[in-house]
Amino acid sequence: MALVELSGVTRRYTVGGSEVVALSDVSLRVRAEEFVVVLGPSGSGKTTLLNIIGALDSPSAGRVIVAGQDISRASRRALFAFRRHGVSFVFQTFNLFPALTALENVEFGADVAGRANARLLAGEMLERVGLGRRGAHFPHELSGGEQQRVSIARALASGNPILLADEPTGELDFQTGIQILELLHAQAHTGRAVLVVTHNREIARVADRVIELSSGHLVRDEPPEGGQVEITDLRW
Amino acid sequence: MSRWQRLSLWLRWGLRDARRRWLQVLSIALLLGLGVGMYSAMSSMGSWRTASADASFAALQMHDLRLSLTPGSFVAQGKLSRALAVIADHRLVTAAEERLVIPTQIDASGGRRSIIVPGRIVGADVQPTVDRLATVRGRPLRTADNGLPVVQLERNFAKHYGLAGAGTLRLGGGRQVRYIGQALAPEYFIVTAPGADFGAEASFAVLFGSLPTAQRLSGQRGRVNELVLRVKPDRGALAAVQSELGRGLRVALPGIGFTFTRGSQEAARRLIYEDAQGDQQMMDIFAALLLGAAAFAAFNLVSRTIEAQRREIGIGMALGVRRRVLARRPLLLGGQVAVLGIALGIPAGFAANAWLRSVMQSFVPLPVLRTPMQVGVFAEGAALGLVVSMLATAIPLRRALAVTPDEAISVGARAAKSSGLVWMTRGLRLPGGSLSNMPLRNVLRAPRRTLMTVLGIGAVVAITLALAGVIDSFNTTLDASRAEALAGSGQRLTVDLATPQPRDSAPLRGMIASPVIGAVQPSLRLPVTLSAGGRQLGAFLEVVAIHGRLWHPTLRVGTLPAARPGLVIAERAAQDLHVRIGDLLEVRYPAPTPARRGYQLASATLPITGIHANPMRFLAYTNQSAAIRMQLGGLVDRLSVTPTSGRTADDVRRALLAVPAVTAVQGAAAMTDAFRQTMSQFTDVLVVTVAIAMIMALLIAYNSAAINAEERTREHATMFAYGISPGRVIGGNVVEALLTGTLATVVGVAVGYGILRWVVDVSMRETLPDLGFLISISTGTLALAALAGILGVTLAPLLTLGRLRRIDVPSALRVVE
Repeated sequence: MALVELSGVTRRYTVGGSEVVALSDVSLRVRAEEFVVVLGPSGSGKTTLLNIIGALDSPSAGRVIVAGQDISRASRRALFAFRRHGVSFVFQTFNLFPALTALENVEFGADVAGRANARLLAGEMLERVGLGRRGAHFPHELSGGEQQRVSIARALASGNPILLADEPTGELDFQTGIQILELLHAQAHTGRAVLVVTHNREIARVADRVIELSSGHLVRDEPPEGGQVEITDLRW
Repeated sequence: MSRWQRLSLWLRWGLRDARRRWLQVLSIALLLGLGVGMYSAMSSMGSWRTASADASFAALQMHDLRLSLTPGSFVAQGKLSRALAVIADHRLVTAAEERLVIPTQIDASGGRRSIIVPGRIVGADVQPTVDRLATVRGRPLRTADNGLPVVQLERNFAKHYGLAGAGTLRLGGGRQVRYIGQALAPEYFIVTAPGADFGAEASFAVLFGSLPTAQRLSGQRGRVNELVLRVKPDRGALAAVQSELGRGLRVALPGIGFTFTRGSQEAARRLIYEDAQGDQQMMDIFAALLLGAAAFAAFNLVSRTIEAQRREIGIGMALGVRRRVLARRPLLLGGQVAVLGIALGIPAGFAANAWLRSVMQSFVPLPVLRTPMQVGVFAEGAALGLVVSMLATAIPLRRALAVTPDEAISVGARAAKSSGLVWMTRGLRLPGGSLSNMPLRNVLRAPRRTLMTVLGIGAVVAITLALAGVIDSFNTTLDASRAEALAGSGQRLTVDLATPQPRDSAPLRGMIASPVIGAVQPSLRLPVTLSAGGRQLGAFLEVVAIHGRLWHPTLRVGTLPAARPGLVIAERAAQDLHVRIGDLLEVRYPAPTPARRGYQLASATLPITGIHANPMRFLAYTNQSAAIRMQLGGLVDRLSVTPTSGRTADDVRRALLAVPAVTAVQGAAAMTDAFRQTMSQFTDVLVVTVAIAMIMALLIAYNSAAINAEERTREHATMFAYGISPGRVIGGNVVEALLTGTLATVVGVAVGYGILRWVVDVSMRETLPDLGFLISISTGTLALAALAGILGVTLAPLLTLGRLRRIDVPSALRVVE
């Protein structure tokens, strides 16, 4: 079953009086348990694509159905509700709440999705990302890798079926990046669809599918070139 | 690049920085403008009042010395002037006027309104060389008015009741006079009356007439009882004149008592200057608080701006730009805020000046007003505003420049900032989910900003609380005094007689027999001086029966024994004289001369046996045993009366107006009621000041909320990404603001209470020594403080809702700060 379905999606912006087409007639489908990597150079439209799937942005044309819900013309209120129950985000800059501890940041993800026993669930998620003992620490007391793991735990705690990650390893060193990638990859095997936006072609090698954008056009949608490899085989 | 081009570049850059946060810059500048404007206006009040008073007293040639015969004593016209001949150096006295000052009742009733008050007639030359009159409405007195029942009415009384410029008045004893104008006189710029040091214009009227007119109206033909003098301003001249004149009078007027009062000690003059000084101290505190509030807010804005420029500063450092150069942009921003603030301070200053000028005019309407915009004071305020802004810039700038380029440029996890005092809540979990825990954490997260906001709002709350607290304390004190005055009978009136009379005298019997008068209780009330250990104060000593059925003083401590002499004084009097129960007080009082031709000063020593409950310092009570010892036994000059059933207080007033011996009939609480009426004017000042304070609180709160909104854009965007609605985000910010506002209110209430204590215990004690203030803060005042400190602050985040809605979520989520 397709969790994400885009048909003829176009997104135009007006910047400084002139029109910019960020996405042009993009159609694609992503199923549950798929680990999809979206590749493309700067300005190719990959983040716009992620934002449209995540209901942070709306298409100028086309149709977007995510988790069974048509979000292309949904109301503002409906989009907020969709984000609470449909998708979860992992950001390049982690975007943790500095005033909350690691555990509370994860709890936030469960809280907003309205999940029962949020505190307990948050503890479990932290354990799952290997930070069970760091729950009482504030973000500034954690390393970059730890912060990103908390960020992933927060997204997982929401229990939402779609995980959207925007350059999740961009701020991290290789070793930590690998750990984060392992974590994200593992989520695709728990019934979720995972979409990772990156400009790092090496990461694309572990994907089930690679979607490549160029100047807003979808130029490739297929398994990685040379076949899927294990994460341990990656080098960058 | 030329120097000018370089300067132009920096200025443009600075302007762009300001434009990016134009609303915040404008709000801080407005705050600073209000601070500078209020500072200059408030700081000018004292010098305005002093300059206006100096000019007014000089214009009307106020006396330097007043000689008064003891009440009830009169001498032939010319006798007091001739006594001046004893002064060796005649040139020391530059002008002198004899006067006749007579207490009377004045009925200014008109239409349905009944206005019957005690007062006095002041008879003097119609074109005096001393104590001239400034005619405000109607016409001045002329020579042709000599001896005619024509007078001028004291302006403050007339203004209080909104009386016409000319009209007819009835006097005690049924006489009638025509008033042809309203005038200000230097002795009555602030109207005081026996027992009311302030604001007696509601309960005391003064009529100015020619000397023959006063003599005819009072039946004291060809007689006078006062001499007012102007003395050369030479060192020692006043003392010499007083001393030599006193010596001469003791010879010329054997058996007649007299007192000297220096012009500087006249109640109106003393109060004007003391009040100006006391008020100025209070104003200075408020002005400093307002400016401080602006400083704290400016500090927050500039800190945030510098924080936002952290990376740019770091890049500059990495490129080898000197720190001095890097400091230019923030300093330019601070400078722009200061310049804009000072520019806004000019209209704010003019507006505050105009307002305070009208307040001054309404409080103390002087004939000559000197209220120029004090350029020096404004410059001082502007300089302070500039210093405040630059300091607010320099401190965070210093911190920003102290880091290494690497620290300044770093992003992501390496740039993660310490979360202030959030660590304190590590083990604390409030009910509700993670969102419920955010507001408290956020308050602790930026402790410096929270502190600055708390101090800024706290300053505003302190001003509100202190000002309203002064009024509350006034009201509580007056309530206590009123309750004491009316204890036993809410309808009690006091009837004062011109001179003490024997209990069985015909006028007294006549009054007691009046069909409008029900219960009667006679007493004797004398102006006295109480002294102990070199300290002295003026008071009214009343001989009362401690178990009087109609009224008797309530004793807080001690007794007023019937069998032996005793004295009961006010607590404030005991404090000021440094005495307590059991100590002896010397009482100087006017006693009838053996031949009953007049009165002379006598003294007696009485033991203090109790402290009464009335906060008025000048009230003292003694018993018949003491009166007998003082040769005053059996004399009466005051009656406490109540109307008979079915009759009103006005009926009693009208009935007794026809009795010549009666000088005043007034409600027992008339004095406190008059005080209260005067204080009601102060409410207007409070309303305006609180309104300004509220605006300032809102500006500070808005500024803080806007900074928080800007700084937390990424957090808000993350919340939106997770489906939290802007309303819920604002809800959290409102709770956070509520916490900050509550903290600020607590701080403000504490500081405000400290200021209130100072105002009451130090400033008011000097200005209004006769009031034993009871410090009080009403629920309404606390509500007002909460309104200024909590409501405004709490609602401020709502003003950022538009900004929240406009957040470009995708961009904000990718911001690397």
